[in-house]
Order: sequence, then C-alpha cells, then structure tokens
Amino acid sequence: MTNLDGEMPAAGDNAKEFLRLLTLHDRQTFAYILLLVPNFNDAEEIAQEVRVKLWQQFGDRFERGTDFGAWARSVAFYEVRAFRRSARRQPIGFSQELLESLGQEFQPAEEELSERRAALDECLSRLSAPVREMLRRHYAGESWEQISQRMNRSTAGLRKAVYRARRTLADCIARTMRREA
Amino acid sequence: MNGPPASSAMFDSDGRRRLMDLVDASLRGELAESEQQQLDAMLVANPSARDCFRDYVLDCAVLREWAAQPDGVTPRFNLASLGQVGGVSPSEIERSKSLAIRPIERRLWQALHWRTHPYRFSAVVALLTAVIWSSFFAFTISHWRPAPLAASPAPASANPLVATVAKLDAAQFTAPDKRLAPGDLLEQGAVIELSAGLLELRFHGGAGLLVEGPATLRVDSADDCFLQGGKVCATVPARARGFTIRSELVDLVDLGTAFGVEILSSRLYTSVFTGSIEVQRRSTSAGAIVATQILTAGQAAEMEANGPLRVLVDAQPERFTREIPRGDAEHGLIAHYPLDETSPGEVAEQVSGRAAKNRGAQVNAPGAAGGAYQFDGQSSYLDTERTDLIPAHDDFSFFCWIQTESTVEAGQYLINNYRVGEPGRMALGVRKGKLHLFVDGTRVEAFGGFVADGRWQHVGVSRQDGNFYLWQNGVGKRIPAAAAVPIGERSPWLIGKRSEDNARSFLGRIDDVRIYDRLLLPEDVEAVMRLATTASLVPDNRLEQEVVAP
Repeated sequence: MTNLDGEMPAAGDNAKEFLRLLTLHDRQTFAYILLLVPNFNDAEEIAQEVRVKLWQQFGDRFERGTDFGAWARSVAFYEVRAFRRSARRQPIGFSQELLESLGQEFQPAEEELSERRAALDECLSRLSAPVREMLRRHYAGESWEQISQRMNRSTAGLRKAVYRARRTLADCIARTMRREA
Repeated sequence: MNGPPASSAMFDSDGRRRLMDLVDASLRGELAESEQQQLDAMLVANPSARDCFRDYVLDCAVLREWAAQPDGVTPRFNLASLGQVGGVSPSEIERSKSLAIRPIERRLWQALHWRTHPYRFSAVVALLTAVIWSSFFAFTISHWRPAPLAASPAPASANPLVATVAKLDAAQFTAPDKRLAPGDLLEQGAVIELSAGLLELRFHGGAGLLVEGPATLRVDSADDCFLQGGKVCATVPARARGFTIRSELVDLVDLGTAFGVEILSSRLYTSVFTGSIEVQRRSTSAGAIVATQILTAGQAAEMEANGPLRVLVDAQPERFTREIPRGDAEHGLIAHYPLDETSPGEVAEQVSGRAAKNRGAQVNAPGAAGGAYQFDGQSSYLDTERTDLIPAHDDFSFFCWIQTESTVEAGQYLINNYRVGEPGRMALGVRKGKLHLFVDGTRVEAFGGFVADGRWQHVGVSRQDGNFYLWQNGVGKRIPAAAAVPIGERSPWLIGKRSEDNARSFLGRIDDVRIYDRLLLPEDVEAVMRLATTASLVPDNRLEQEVVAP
C-alpha cells in the first residue's frame, strides 16, 4: 500500500476522480436541469437525485476519458423525465415534445456559465447596495413578505423594484457578454 | 440610425418581458397552468423566444448561485464539511482549503490501509461507502440547498397572481401608492385606479384588457374583472372564451371576441368589434340571471340603472382606444428623477433609490410632467453624487425636459461631469441658442436646433456602439465618433451647473430626467414625451439638419 505521496489506492482514485468531475460539471448540470424544469426547488431536488445516480453508476457506466458533462446531462434528462412521471407530481411543466426538443437544444457549457457569472458580478457592482441586497434575498428564496419586512418596503413596491432590477441585470449581462465576445 | 440588437428585433420587448415574467413565476413555483401553456406556446412558436428563455434561465441560475454565496465565492464542493462527520481536525480542514479533495483522500487512504486484514476488508468497504455518502450528505445539505424558495408561496398574501401589467401610456394613478409599472403582477382582488392615460392588462387566463383613464377596475380572477367606472376594451382569444367584465348593471360575457365597455355616471355603453358577447342581467336580490342578450359584431347597447338594455344600430367603435401606441418609455430605465418634489431636500431617484442633493434649486415649479426644478443661472444645481450615472463604456440615453429663460453665448449646462483636464468629461447644454453637446474636449461636439426660450423642449443625448446621438423634441441625429470615447467616472454628475465653478449654470426649468442603458428608438422617445402632462405641449421646432460633427 502506498501513502498519500505515492499512488493512491483504486477506490480512492475512484472517489477522488468522481468528486473532481462532479465539481467541474455540477453547475453545468444544474443549469441544464433548470432549463428543463425552471423551478428552483424542483431543479434542486432533481439535481440531488442526479448526483446520487451519477455516483451509483460511476464505476459501471461511465467510461473514463469520455465527457463526464455529457454523461451527467443524459442522466439528468432521464431524471427529469422520471420526476415528471412521479405520481406525486402534478402534470405541470413543459409538454413532453417540447421537453425533448429543449433537452437536445440546450447544452450549457461551463465556460458560458463562468462568463455569465463574471458578467453578473460586474453588473451587480453597478447596482446600489440596497438593490443588491434586495436581489440577494429574492434569489436566496426569501418570501416577498420577509424581504419587505427586512427592507421596510411595501410588498407591491418591492415586487416592482425586483422586476425592474432583474430586467436591468439581464440587459446588462447580455451587453457585457456581447462586449466580451 | 442603428436599429436595436437582432435578438430584440426578432422578439419584441413586450414579448421578452412577458417571457421573463413567466420564467420568474415558474422559478418560484407560482406559475398557473394557463401561464405554463403560454410559456410552452412562446417557446414552440419562436426560436428567438427560446434564445431569450435560455439566456434568462442561465442568468437566474448564476444569480441563485450568487445569492447563496453572498461573499461572492463561486460555490464548489467543500469537502471540509467531511470533518463534521468524519472526525477530521480543524487544522486538517484548514489545510484542505487549498486542496478540497484532501480530507476524503486521507480518510479513504487510512481506511484502505486496513485492507490487508481479512476481517477488516468488509469494514473498510462499509467505511468507504459511509464516508462517500456522508460527504454527499454533508455536501448536499450544507451547500446545495440554499434557503428553500417560498415553501409556502407568497405568504404575504394568499391571493394568486391573476394578471400582469403589460404596458402603460401616459398613465396616472389616483395616488402614489396606486402606481403600477409594466411587469407588475396583480393579485386577485387588486384594484386599479387610473386617473388618466392608458394601461394594458394581460389576464393570465389569456384575455387582454386596455383600460382608459379615468377608470376604476378590480381584478377578480384570471378570467374576470369588475368595472366600477371608466372605459375598457377587451381582446379575448379563443382559449380565454368566457372572460367576463362585471359591473353594477350587467355582466358582459365574452363568446370569443373583442369589445369595449364604458360606464359613466351609472350609464353603460358597450360595443362589439368582432365576435359576440352575452349581456347578462342579474336580479339585485338573489343575483340570479334574469335576462340575457347576445350582441354581435357591429352592434352596441346601452342602459341606465334599472332601465332596459337598448340595442343600438350605431356601434361607435371609435369611442374606444383599442391599442397603446408603440414605444416603450420604461425599458432599460436605469435612473429617473421625476423632479416632482414639493419641498427642498433630497431629490428622489426612482430606480435605484439613490437620491440626489438639491443645492439651491427651487422646487415645485410648474413642469412638463408634474412639478419641475427652477435653476437660477448662478449657483443652484442638483448633485447626483454618482460618478456612474452615465455608463462609461456602454450604450446609454439621457433625456429631460427644459424650459430656458435666456440662452446666452457662454452656454448653460444641463448635465455634465465637467472638470478641466479630466478625460472623458461630457456636457449637454444650450449654447448660442442651440442645443450643444461635447464629449472629452471636442472629440465629439455637435450643435442641435434652436432652443426657444420660454417653451418646454424635450432634449437628450444617446450613445450606441460608440456613436453619439443628439435628440431634440423626438428627433435624433447621429454624430459619428472617430474612435471610442469613454466617459469619465471620476467626477459626480451634476444637473444644472458645471462641476467646478458657477460658470455655465442653467437658467430656467428642468423636469423629468431619465437615463436609460440603451439607445432609445424614436417611438420610445415619443412614448417618453407622451408622459408629459402639460397641455399644448406640442414641440414645433424639431431638430434641424444642422448637427455638425468635428
């Protein structure tokens, strides 16, 4: 048996390699799921199922040296379908035909997400601190009531401000990415 | 003039806004089934809508990521959390930060060292499994489940969201807290009190309703509303058949149509443009339907309280405004100083909430759109206290109303960040009786048309892709720039005065200062101008063909 400075045992390699690949591709996989199921809670639930499935199948079904991200997306797509079939789910979400189409069409790349994140950071820096805080709370999942109480604003006014800010951000991100392209 | 970006040209701003509203509702789990169908239809029918959807969802994904990590660190697996379940010491965790995988390596390595003992092998496998699953558990719980999104949807109000404000045109409301903006979502039971102008509402059941002020309307569900008074015009697609406008007098039930209704002083008038409607009269006691009347295209009817319904031959469709003129005065608005204050002090900015300081300007002067600020031509000005008010490199538009008293040779500044010797200074003002723009010395300089003293004029400047545009009363002229000219970000933007002294101060009134992060199209500028409330405000001195570039 070797120590940490030498060659790692096979099982350790397996775990290490899996976690490395998962780390590299998890954001990309989550974004893919969110595109197919645009609901934060549902997408996160599916993403967790996908991570478990990926680990369970990592040794048997993933061929080393191939594209882990593509494999993760294919597992994710089947999990999305399973999630929709689940008896406890309401028949909501995209139609099956549209889902199949979007599943093929939407393949977000990690580079694109990194660029978007960089553009977001730049655009956020142009907003005032209260607006940033408002958006942070909104996207962290706080309810309208919680945010309005914290920020001492009416719920209606808060909604207006959030919608206006997120439009401004979306426009800014698009412009920034065009500029960087 | 350059057009809008290709994507927006293919998928208009209204469609984009509606799509974003639907995605937002979906992300929070607040999307109604009918809205889901709308979203499906948009994505199936329009490739540009799919591009817009993709971009916006990805934006939201990174926003979610950012929100879960307020320190701005991109979330990644942090296997230091293994320490909580695997007994790794704090120092090991600290060391692991530079190599997050290290704790699990150590744990697995330690476990596998036992492999040579036959009885320990199965225990090692079990431990290995436990470690992996523990790491998964710790990881997923601590890092991949940010605060759940509104577990009980919209607890502030249990009422569902049933309609969206699509457009406004010169809309005024009965009170400041009644104001609505495009994109606002209305809850069931929301009351619209429009004192003037037009408001377009999209019911989530599919019907569209154009409300013409003054009008008071309550939104009762995704498929019906109660009109207390005023004028509305409904456009109802087949999928929203049955949409109902109720009133004190009768209910008007759509049978697949477009129709208008006006209620004024307990008198109702309705006109059917296409298709047909059913007019239902209810008993005042039990509320049961006691009489019905079908009206078809080209027919109209009127009635008074307790009077009969009289079908009219002359439908008078021209009594109703059926669509809002094109143009968008709100899209891309990044700063807005209405200048409607009635007392000295802070000057409200409605987008970011970052108020400006009033340095001696007189408030509450009669304006083009509500109140205005009066500047004395000497020391009065507004200090935005912002160096980033005008984007340094990106597209922008600046607009305001001005009423000069005496345009002089030396010129008067409307807005500027001027400081001698500093690069990137820009000033818009009036000089030699004309609108005057210069940027960074005279690298970009242009004169516009004549500014008539004593009259309200709508003026502005835009930049898109490095080229500047000078605007006067709705007409824009392109001013080519030889090279990209960045605008400085060192000095704060002042309104009504030069930054460093009392020279070139503005004499007259300024109103409704707006800054956008895009080049406005002429119809957008017209929409901004329509927001003016002053009567007889029809500018007649359009920008002449005399803009000069260096």
